[in-house]
Amino acid sequence: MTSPASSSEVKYLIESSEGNTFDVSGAALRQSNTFNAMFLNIGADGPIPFTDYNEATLKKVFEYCEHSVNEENYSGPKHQDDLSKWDLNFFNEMDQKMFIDVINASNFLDIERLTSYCCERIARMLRGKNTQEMIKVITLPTAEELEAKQKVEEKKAAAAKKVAEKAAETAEKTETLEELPVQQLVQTTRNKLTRKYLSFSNE
Amino acid sequence: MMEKAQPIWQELPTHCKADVVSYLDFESRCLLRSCSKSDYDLVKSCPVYLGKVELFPPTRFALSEQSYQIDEFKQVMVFLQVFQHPKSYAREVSINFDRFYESGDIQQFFILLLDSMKTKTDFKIKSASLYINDHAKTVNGREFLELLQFFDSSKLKKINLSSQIAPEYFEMVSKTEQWKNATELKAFGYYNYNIPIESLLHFDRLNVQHINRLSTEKAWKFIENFLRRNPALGSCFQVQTMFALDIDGILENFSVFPNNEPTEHEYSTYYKHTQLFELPNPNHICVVKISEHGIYAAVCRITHLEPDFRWYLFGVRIE
Repeated sequence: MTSPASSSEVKYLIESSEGNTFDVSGAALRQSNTFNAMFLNIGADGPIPFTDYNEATLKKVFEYCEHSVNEENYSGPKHQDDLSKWDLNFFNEMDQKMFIDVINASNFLDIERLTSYCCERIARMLRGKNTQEMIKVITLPTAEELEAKQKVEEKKAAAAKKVAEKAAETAEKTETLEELPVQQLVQTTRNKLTRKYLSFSNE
Repeated sequence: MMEKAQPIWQELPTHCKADVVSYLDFESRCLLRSCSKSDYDLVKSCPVYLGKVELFPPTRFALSEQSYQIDEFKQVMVFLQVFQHPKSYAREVSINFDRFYESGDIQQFFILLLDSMKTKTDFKIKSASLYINDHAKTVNGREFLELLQFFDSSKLKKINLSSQIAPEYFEMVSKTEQWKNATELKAFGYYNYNIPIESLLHFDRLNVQHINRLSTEKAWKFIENFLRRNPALGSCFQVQTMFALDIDGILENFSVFPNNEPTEHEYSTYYKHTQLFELPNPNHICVVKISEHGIYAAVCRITHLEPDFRWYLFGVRIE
């Protein structure tokens, strides 16, 4: 099914994180520098595994690639006013979760055009906002949230330290007799017997 | 229940964040910088590319035509932030002192600016153009020399000064790399002292107004040097003098027969002599015009002598 791409008619099978496979044209796939570096010259025997990303995300990414196959000369992201209806729909259809997944997948696949568009879109979301609004837009944790998170982590670290210390202490106490050298073993037994004798004699 | 918003920012790879920052204007970058420590570091690591950076102390500051009302301390702070990254670049840096500003205050502002830049290691202003509007001639000496040396000499191409360079500093200024590497000079001050013209001859575009006197030898030296450099189309110079030129004396120095060939279509008595000098490129002509108080020269297309002459020297378009 998959072979070294020499013509745009060639189709490649892509495998998503769910194990599902779907077709992508060679022309679309060649917009990915990751693909070009890994498979373009040697081809692929089976489906190409992009298993870090789900099917919906990959389909969205390659939908963009398929659409921009004919846009040969790329000179940076377009201005908002120059975006086509298709471009606008493409971005508007995505929810925030999908948008993040698309950026990350596009970044992994090294699709310069899509990554730049996404970054420009985030920049547009930030422009003209004050700091508080920016934090909200990009959902950064607030200073209080960061402080609370740090406190929880400190508590966790302290608890883990305590547990580790206790474990070490217990391990010290429960030293197995076999692990002790013979002389030390004799001495330990003697001490125990002495303590037992003394306790009896005290009674 | 409303779905919790996804944290866009933390999920983004660092180079994508840098990409986002590159699309932000300077003001948004400053605001993003205050969001968190990591954003501060991110913004700091991204160079800024701006059109004009204009300082109008004490109250106004402008970045790429966007004006802000900020005091002089903040202006210096922002100025340092703009050029903090070694790759940051502005097309023009303009320092504009209001006419009615006390000269002592101008000096104080300049010292604040210079001292702040000195505290930064290897601080360089990367800009193609420097414009200083200082009618009071308060900072035309040591301060100007020091400021000029903060500019990256490989980037600075154009120097535009509203007032004269103090006589005791002219030589030092002309020996800086920044001066030597610049290709364009506009000097509008009154040079009531004899400036060594040798330090002006390397400019491809030169506009010096109000030179004190220009001897016939020096006047010819300007023209001869210009021709010898085989100037490119658009190269030009104009030197105006406070005292009238000895036109006949200049013409006597000409290496060719003085032949007056006016290029303007309408009748004009402003230019007393127009000479057309041939250049190695047969499509170009060097038009030299001499008026009572100035010499004007420009390399023009042979087919568009007057339009090119006016455009290159005065920025005026004619048919």
